[in-house]
Amino acid sequence: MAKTDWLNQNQYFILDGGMGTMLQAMGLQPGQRPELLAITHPERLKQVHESYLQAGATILYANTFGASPHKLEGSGYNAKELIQAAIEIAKQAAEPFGAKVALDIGPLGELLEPNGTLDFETAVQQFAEMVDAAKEIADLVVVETMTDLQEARAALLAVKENSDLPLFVSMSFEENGRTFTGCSIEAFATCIGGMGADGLGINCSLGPVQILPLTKRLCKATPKTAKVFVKPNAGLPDPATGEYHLNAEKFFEQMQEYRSLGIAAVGGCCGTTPAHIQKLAEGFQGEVPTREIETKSVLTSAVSVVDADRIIAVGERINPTGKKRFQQALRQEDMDYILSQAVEQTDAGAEMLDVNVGLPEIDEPEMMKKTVKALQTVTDVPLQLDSTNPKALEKGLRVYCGKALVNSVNGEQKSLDAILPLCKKYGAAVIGLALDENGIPPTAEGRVNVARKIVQEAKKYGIPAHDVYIDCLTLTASAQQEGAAETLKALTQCKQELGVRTVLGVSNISFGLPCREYLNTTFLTMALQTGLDLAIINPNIAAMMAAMRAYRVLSCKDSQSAEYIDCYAQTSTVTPIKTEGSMSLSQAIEKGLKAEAVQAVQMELKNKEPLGIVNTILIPALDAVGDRFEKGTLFLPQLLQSAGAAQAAFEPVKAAMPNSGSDTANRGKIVVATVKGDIHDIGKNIVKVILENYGYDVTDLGRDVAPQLIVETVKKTGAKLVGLSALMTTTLPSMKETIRLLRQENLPCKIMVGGAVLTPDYAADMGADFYAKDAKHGADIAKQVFGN
Amino acid sequence: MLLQTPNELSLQKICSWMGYPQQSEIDPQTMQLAQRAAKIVLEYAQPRGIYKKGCLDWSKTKQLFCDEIPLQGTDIVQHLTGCTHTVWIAVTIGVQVDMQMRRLGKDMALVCAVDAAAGALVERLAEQLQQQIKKELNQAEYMTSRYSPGYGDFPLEMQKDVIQYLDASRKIGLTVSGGILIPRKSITAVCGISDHPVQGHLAGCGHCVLRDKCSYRKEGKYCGKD
Repeated sequence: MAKTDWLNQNQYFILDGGMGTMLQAMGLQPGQRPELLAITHPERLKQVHESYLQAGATILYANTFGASPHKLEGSGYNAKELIQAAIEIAKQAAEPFGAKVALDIGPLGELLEPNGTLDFETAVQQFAEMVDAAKEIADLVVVETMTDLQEARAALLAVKENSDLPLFVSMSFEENGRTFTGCSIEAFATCIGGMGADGLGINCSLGPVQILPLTKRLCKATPKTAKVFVKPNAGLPDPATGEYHLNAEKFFEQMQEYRSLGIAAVGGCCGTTPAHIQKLAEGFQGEVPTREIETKSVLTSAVSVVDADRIIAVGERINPTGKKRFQQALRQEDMDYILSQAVEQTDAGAEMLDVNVGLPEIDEPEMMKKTVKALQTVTDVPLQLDSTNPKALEKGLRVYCGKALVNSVNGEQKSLDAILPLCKKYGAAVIGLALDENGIPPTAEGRVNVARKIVQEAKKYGIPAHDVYIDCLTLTASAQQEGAAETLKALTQCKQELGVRTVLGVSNISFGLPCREYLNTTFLTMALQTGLDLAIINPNIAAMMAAMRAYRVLSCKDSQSAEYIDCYAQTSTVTPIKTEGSMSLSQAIEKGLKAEAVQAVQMELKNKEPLGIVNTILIPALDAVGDRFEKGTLFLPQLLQSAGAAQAAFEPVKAAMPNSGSDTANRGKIVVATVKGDIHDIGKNIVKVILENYGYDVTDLGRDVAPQLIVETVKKTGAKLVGLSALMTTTLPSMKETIRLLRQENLPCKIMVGGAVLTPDYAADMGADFYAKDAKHGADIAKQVFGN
Repeated sequence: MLLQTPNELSLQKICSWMGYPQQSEIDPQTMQLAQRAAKIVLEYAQPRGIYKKGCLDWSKTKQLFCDEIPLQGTDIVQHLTGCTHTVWIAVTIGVQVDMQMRRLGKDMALVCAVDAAAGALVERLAEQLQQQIKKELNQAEYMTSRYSPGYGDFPLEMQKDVIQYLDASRKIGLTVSGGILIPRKSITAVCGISDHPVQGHLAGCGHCVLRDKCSYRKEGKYCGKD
């Protein structure tokens, strides 16, 4: 019998109630670790389990909620012994009743990246150790009380990769239907359901009344392959005492409405007792009614869910093809630039972003992982991972929190066999290109045939047709003028005959022709009219987004034109008149006015050499501001605004330099980092901006940076100056360690350090060459080190 | 529990947190920057708080305990002198503001302004919560000012105990990693409760890690009060 067979019944499962509540009643103090009871007081646990079994529970959660290796550090016990002891106690109790026992996994207590600092694989490893301890003895695994979707994903992968036990996952939501980290019910259901959980639920945080509307949403969004379950609290807690007061009768009364929803299991969380569970067991008997499911084609991050029914604008700009600046950013691992492309596109209205980081000379899998992680720190639109390299796709999918779209497979068996299993494992949807080993079929029929094969292959892996997005391929009108009509014909047929969604890279239509925007917007509109769901476009071009939004109005996808009005009601047709050259570049920088600085620098560029502008205007202006800052006649906000203006002025200067991006303005290489353990990086970022304004080539390793990485980067770049920051006393030792390691390697670099708790004495003690009290001082040190 | 986001934030306070000396005249451009920052913070903040009353145990000569949690350091003992109970509080404005700050990328002027505004907001929310708790006390009870891990010699590591004690990660989504509270703009603290009027002794500069370079101290002032 497969380990999941017992789940395939259509009767209600009765879950147990609060464990903490019962243990506290037995004298457990707040702050004590309940997990230790499995060894110190097994009889108490058994007593609680038995009382729930007698009440009618058919699934018990073993007392392992917080038994992760990390949480148990310093307790004198290890996770394995506590978990196995706890499960054995539950099993002994459960056996006479024929009940099942779950390994219960709660949150690790630290937030994962990008919201927090805990690394994804570390979290997977923590959960994996718990699963490993239980896989031979538990009947199922329950991952519960999650508020971070990424953590729920980590736990799910740990369970799937280390056992074949059935898995239930429940998260805790607030009344607005989101968790503390912003994860919505639909994102949870789509992502965790898509990754193959057997049950999806809601537990804790609220009582039955507040959870009811949320459960209705969960029932609609959960795939039919999974069951839905709930474990509400006994009402809302008293804010002063934290106690729950909803008694068993009232609790059950409030649970009545749940009986018609088609949920398959019920139980209780904080404040619930065997009396509550007994009521549930009496009331929830017999067949589970059918659940109403809304099947939608959606893609999600943890926070936003986009529905292909509304047509989706996918930003195409994160892609090195034909973009020198982007290629340079990839080679230099300049994440700031890549992230700025993401922010610019989402600000312009992109609802998803395509992510392509493939260049022959870089490690694409590592770069994909790094980019997907970084993108999630600044944007919550769903991502479309664009690569033909399965390794790169897997690295990206693994760290992507949500349901991604994989771009792409094609009709070649090799491509399908390599990529579809990844889509299944990580719950992703997939783009299928209507081409195969014989190239692009010239006719619409040919492309539909390839699409049909892709859909059939996807189905073999359990990927439904509505999660397949067929790309009928945009041919360039300048080369194959009749191609446009054939593409659209294929698109319509695929959608009608195969039940798939459709996608097109729109911009290719106009390649080689002038005024590309005219062709792009027209082709986009035509494609939308024939059934395009996902348009891969440049959202920074206002006319493209306007076409999308206008189409939504005219096709009744934008109810009451709300989005359209929101975007365009404020659009003024009058542009403010600016008097050219009304302010000099130095004035603009000293006053910290960005737009004026850019305007002034463009005037200067008409008759001055770029480098001359840097040396005779930009730097002296920054010096003047820096002097005033030092004298205390101007303050940090003003210094930063000036730096921002100089930064803005620097862009056109760089672009005008003969070898854009070369070392023409480079006054020296510097590596900066916020040390391991510390994530307070504002000070370091200020230093970086100021140094860059002075023309230094700064490699920024970010925050929480391991000493070894700093050493390696100094070796790689040959930087002559390293800047380290730390804000807390607790992270000074890791600064010291970094310095020690740099010295040990005999690297010919100077080290400057800064941060709130540092003093010149500390700095000297640690072996730093310089203590920088502020960013201005940091720039002075750089001038001294590089002698410029 | 949800806390009420105020309608506005003090722009003077934001500027002063950004490094403008107090009582100096603020230039209009910086004022505008503070305004933008306040708008972002007020839009994205999701303020939540939690508190719980604890019982102090003065019976052990060497160590002060609160509900079996040892309170480390001498400054906290001084602060709670005369008190029989404590109220532990935790306040956060949520992860959304953190993401907005990351989104601003290299616009360091605005990043610093948002950082200052978020700091000002979380302080204000903590004060608001203290006022609320005060109202709920008996007439014969008095409460000290709040005292946070990291003040004086009350170690930062105590954050972990406070969070566990309050079950703050489950109740308000507040966690701690390596001594750093996440969401970033959050406060954990303890107030003493007594049956006679108490003020508490906020940490002096004696044990403060910033004592050598503190700008307040140079001006003869003290961070405990504006």
